[in-house]
Amino acid sequence: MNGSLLGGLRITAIVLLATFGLTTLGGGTALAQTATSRLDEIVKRDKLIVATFSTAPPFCYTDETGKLVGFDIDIAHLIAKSLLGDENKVEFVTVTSEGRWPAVNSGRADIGLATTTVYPDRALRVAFTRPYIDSGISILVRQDTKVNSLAELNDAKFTLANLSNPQMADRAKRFLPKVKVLTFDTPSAEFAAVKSGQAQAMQMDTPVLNWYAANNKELKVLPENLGVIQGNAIFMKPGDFTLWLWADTMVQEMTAGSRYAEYSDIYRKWFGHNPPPERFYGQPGK
Amino acid sequence: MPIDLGFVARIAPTLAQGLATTLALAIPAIVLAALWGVPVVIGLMARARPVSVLTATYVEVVRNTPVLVQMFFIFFGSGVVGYPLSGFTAALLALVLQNGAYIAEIYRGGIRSVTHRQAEAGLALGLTPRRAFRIIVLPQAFRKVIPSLSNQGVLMIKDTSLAATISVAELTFQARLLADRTAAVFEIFFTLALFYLALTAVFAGAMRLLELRARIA
Repeated sequence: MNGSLLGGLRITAIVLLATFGLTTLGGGTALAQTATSRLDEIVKRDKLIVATFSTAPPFCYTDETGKLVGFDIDIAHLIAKSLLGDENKVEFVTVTSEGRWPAVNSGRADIGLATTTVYPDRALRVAFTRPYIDSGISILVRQDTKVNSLAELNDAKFTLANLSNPQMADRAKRFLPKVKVLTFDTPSAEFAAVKSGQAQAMQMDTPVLNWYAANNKELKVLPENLGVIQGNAIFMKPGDFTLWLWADTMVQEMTAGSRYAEYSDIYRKWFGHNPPPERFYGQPGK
Repeated sequence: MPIDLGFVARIAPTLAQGLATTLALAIPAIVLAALWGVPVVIGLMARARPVSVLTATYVEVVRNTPVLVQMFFIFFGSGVVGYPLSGFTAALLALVLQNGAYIAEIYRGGIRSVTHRQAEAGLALGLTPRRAFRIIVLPQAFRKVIPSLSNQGVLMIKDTSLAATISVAELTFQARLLADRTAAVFEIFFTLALFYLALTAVFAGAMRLLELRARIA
């Protein structure tokens, strides 16, 4: 009884030691071989799958013909071209605001490009690259309000439309504490609230509002922004260093490297001016 | 994906706030829809042809369009015509208008399920048509519609979640805000489902009790 127990223990110890020894010896190579990256899968599949929105102009939205268009969509094509050699080797999965996280974390999409702002609490659940576009937050108002500044808008008789994220609520409390607030789950519903008169103003990323104001004469963007610096970044399931490094390098190459000319073209196409920051070498020629 | 229980405990108070709004919307919606069903079923079964045709048209229109579209229509439409209704009022109105029509159909089915011979027997005993309906048909119809009403109520509780799209800070709305901030979608929607499950279970249980009490011993 005693002997067999000891024997059993000894065998267990040997097995444990052997396993431990093997893993330590094999260490680096074993890990590198077993942990395949999603990047290999993308290359093998020969197609990039991107989670995006369909209701957030001018970043990612459907035009009158039902086609997905926008800045983010063009960026996704540029990424596909750089990765797979063909800008059409990309497939889009359209998601809602909160649906973008499970889209990448469940593996339905490889990466997300959905006018997504980097926030530390979001970075706990998804991995962000560095930002591929700077953004800010501005206020769009109806011309008939005769409001020209944040101070004039800060009045209990006005209603502000927000998007359903907590950062919007925080900013409304800080910059426009007297204003009533309505909250919607898509930028287009927010916009509908302003157009229909349910709200007199809406809060949104500056480039989005500039686009709305340019297309609607009865609306304008207030000159002040809401004092925040924001970066929109590519996001993906955390833990895949190879994929993350590739995507982050891609962003670096677009914003300040070998793909800057193409990136600038896309930027000018959607926003009508050159991408910041201006650099000493100027803008690429057309 | 493992569920982080500590996180669920942290988000529960925010969801509870949403629950209060969900209840404030669901309870009046269910009561008002059950009441609104009465004039509608009277209209449906009216002998005067124009009344019954008009009511039937109303029932078909609201029954055959999504309640979400009705909410958008009332909410944004009221803004366009210059009398903006709050999201809460618009949602309540849409829920009552649509479910009132469904419930009227349930009432009609209940009344029709009582064979007309019973009413005729009442008339033969010297009751007026009105009294025959009230004493003989109505109590039996009432018992028969309870399970269908319970079902409709559960549907209505779930449909209150659509009000999140027109800025009503109910359960789903709070869950979406939380999900957007933390990206912890699984934990949040799992907890949200539990909240709805508890709500509909309590409602369906109460209706079951009513059904047992209304049963003839």
